Amino acid sequence: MNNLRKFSVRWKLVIMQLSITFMVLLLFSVILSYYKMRMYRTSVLKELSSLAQIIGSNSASALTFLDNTAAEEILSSLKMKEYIVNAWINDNEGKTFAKYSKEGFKDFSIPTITGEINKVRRDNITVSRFIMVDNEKIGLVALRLSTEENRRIVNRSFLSALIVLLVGMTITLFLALVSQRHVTDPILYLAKKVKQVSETADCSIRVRKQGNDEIGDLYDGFNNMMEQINTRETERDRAYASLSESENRFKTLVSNIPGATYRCAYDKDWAMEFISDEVENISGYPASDFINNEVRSYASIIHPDDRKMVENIADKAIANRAPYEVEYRVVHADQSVRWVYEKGQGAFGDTGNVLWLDGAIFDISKRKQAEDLTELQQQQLIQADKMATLGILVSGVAHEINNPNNFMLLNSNNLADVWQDVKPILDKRYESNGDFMIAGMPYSDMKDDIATLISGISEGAERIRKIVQSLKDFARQDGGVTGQNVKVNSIVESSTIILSNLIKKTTDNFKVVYGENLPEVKGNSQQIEQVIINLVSNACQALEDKEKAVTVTTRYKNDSKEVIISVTDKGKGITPEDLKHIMDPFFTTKRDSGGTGLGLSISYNIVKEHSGEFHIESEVGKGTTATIYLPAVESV
Amino acid sequence: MTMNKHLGILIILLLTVSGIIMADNENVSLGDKTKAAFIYNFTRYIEWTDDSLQTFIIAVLGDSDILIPLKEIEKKKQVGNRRIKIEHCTKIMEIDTCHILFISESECCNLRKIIDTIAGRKILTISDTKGFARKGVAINFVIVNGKIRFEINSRALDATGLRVSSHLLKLALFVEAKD
Repeated sequence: MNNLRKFSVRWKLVIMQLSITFMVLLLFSVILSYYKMRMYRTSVLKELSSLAQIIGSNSASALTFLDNTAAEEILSSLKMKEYIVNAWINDNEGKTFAKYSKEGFKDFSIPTITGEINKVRRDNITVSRFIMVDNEKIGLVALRLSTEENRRIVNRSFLSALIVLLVGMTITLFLALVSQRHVTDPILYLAKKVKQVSETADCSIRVRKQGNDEIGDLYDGFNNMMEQINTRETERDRAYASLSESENRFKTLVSNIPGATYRCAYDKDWAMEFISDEVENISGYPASDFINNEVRSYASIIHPDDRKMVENIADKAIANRAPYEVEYRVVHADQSVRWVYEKGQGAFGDTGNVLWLDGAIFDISKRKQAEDLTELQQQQLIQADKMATLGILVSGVAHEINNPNNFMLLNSNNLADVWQDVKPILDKRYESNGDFMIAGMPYSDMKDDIATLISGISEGAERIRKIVQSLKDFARQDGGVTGQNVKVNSIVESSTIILSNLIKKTTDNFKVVYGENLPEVKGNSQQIEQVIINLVSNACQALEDKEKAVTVTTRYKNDSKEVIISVTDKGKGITPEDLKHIMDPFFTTKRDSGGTGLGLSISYNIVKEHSGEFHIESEVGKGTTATIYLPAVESV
Repeated sequence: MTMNKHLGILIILLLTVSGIIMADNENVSLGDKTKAAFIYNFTRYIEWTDDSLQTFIIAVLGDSDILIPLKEIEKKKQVGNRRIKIEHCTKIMEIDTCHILFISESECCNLRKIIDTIAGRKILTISDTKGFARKGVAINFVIVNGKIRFEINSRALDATGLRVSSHLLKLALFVEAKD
């Protein structure tokens, strides 16, 4: 059945017409043949009947008078009838009185017939009639007709009927093919157009109406529909365009906002219905990641420590139907932590339920950094101020201590001289008089100690003097940067000469690399010398064995216009913790060996006053490099 | 004892007579029966018109065995609406009127006289003796090939003035009259 559906309308019509013709012709033929057959039979029977009657009446006398011959003579007249193959006359007892057989049917046996019959068989028709004389049966005459010839004729007529059928069908086919066009052509044309529309989506296609029938209506309908579609398409395109424009405008506006605008659900994940692309700058993840928690939830980038706080603030704001503001950290895709500031508010439905939250998120890392920096700077300022104050204090104290200390130093030296002269006298007394008590202790115990005691006092005083000197250096604020043009290389040279002893003691590998054509530096040569001495002594003191090297390098960097002095040692290095505080005043790892912790701090201050930079890099076990950058004097 | 003996003899006699009588009946040959039937059937093929006789009279002249079957026919059949009457006579003068006259063989000598007597009357003469047709009898039964046929003397038949069906004539053997 489905195969039939696939047939074109054209062929359906043709087939329809053919089938109608076929049916009609067939029906007609069948009815005709049936009718003809009936007619034939009827006529045959009628003929036979009348023939039987005639023969009967003709042979009645022969039968009456038992004249077989005469009867047979009568029967033999049936010779004329081509189709009558047998005939016989029976008397009242059923005995055959006379018979007749056509050539070729002689061996035919006479059936017993006792009454009047009209028997139609396949090949023959038998009819029998009583022979009546004066309403009295005297015998029976029977005639048999062969229908074989008729059958042959019938078969022939079947053939001709078939031919008629075929001819009829052919004519119909031709006519149908011709006539179906009127119906199918418009339909097929429309079908083609419809297909064209669906394939090319071209809504401007129209069809021209050809007739005024239902197909014409179809055409009109099609055109109307296309018109409507066209209109709707145009409207839709317009709507699209304006929507697109709207969206673009929105996007432009949003992208100009230096924050990520969003609409999110009021849930634990802060599932984003929409969030602008700015969030990528803030978090390192594209906005699409967050839409409906596609790849990750927004909550997942909030710093774990801050999540609860953010939730609480939001909850409180929602509960009060108020907007919220919160600062928190997010973890960027590069794992760095950024500070963000978020402001938003909830949208509420008719029943007071939260529909969503709208808001904006701003990256405030820079601000925070700035804040931190400001804080740092403020602290540094305070520190500097403290230092300044300290400096003044220290300066004053140093000054005050200096005098008594000088006194102690001087006197302890004198005392040493005195003891030197007194000791022999006491020794002589000890040798002659034996042990005696001095200040409650026996002389024998004390005699060697006293010199030590006295030298101890002088050492202490000396130490105090050194410290006081350092403190004075440290406190020196105005520094006396006199603005001379100094040559770095010569300062380095003189520094190494001053430290030659320390260098010799600590390393076999001391090297100086003098940069060539170094420009001059504006500053105080003594102070710079002080810095270099500080650095080189530190370097030497850091070495663990004499094999290790200390290198001093000077060079000029053209692009930053800086003269660079670096001191590198292969010493024990500085731990990262210590490195943080290495330039802090009074920070020292060498307190046991008399370090004051002021050296690097003073150096730092000097470099800073020379508008330079001072960096120290170090690796524990490997070594340390201290580098000074000093701005070069601009050559005219 | 004598009574019984008489009775016995009487019975035997009766039986014998009835036997004879019955034998007489059985001795009616098939041929006679057929002839009688034929005679009756002739009436179907011949028209006796214009007579007002109530019965159809078949007269048998002379002795003939045909009487017996004719009598049977007389009982059973009719000619048209009329009943049949069989008359037996020995002299032609005894016959008043009849439709059919059967002339037995015994009258062969008087044949001429008989025919002359009934000439002109609508009487069908029938016989079953050889040569009678030539001598003027209208229909004469003959045996041909073991079958009973009849000869017709057409002049004699015409002379009767009776209308005869061609069906009958068809079956007949025609003979010429001998003068």
